[in-house]
Amino acid sequence: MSSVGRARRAGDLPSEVIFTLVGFRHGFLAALPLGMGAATFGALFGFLADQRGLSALESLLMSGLVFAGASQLLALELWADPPSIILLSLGAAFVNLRFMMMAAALRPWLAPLPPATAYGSLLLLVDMNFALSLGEIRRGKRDAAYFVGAGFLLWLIWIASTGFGFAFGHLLEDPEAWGLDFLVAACFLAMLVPLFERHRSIAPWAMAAGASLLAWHFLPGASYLLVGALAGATTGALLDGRR
Amino acid sequence: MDVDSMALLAILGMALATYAVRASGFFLVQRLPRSRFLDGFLHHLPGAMFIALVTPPVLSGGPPTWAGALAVVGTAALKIPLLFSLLAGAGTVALLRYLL
Repeated sequence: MSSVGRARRAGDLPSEVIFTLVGFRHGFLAALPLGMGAATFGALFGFLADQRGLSALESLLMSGLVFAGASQLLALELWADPPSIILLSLGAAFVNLRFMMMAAALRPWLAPLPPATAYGSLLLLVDMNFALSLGEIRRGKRDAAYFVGAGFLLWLIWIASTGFGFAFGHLLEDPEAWGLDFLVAACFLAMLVPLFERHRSIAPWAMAAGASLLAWHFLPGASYLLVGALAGATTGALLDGRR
Repeated sequence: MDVDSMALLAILGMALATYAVRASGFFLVQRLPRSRFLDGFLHHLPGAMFIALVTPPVLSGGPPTWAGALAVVGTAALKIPLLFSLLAGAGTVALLRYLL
């Protein structure tokens, strides 16, 4: 698994992006602590899927093929017998729209790769390997296989924890008493810290927080995430442009 | 361990729709003209996204999640391993839920 590509355009792209087994292993190991948050979420999904009447194989297939927690929980909300294919597909696309923006932000690593490698890597795009990889990109690291290694570990954990939650979820009476429901938010709070820039982040982040709170109160579903992200990033881009 | 054929089609539809979203962001950004605005937007996007993701649930969770968030951010700022930040956060939330 080693292929080398040169950046096609100047700018913020690293001059040479590599894709090696060493990078894959780095990413795989770096994602281990985040696996705890993913495992909690995956077990929760497996538990709820059991409650909603999905079979074990259906639950595992959904985790393996869709690999996106929020949309899988939405699917459980909308699940019926028979399920509506169109409703579930559109719902998944909308809840997962943030992946579109993440894939765009990963351009420094993906653009220099051969297209098959880049589009193949995107099969494993989730929030956590995106956040880890973004940190690596900002630190000037060049091995894009890190992204795939982290994604692959999270994918394995996601499937295993779905099965675990399906089989044993009913045994854990009260996960909230252990603070386990907080782990997913905790992962993202921790990853915000290295992203903070004293002179550039305050206004966009305040705008993102305010807009997400407004949308949380007045708009349906998970739209607060997209509204907040768009408001914050637009604010940041406009303020940067005036400097 | 059985799979209903309609359930399988629905799962495949969700998988295709989700991959289409994953792939289209990269597809589009390669074809849009580069601009200072787009560069700035993409630079600020991850932070704004994570803030929007955590702010409503953390604020609406009351004092336990407020304190848990402070514990996570405070420990993460000390550059200790991520695992300990996560444990500090969940532990703080659990402790305050028990006490309050």
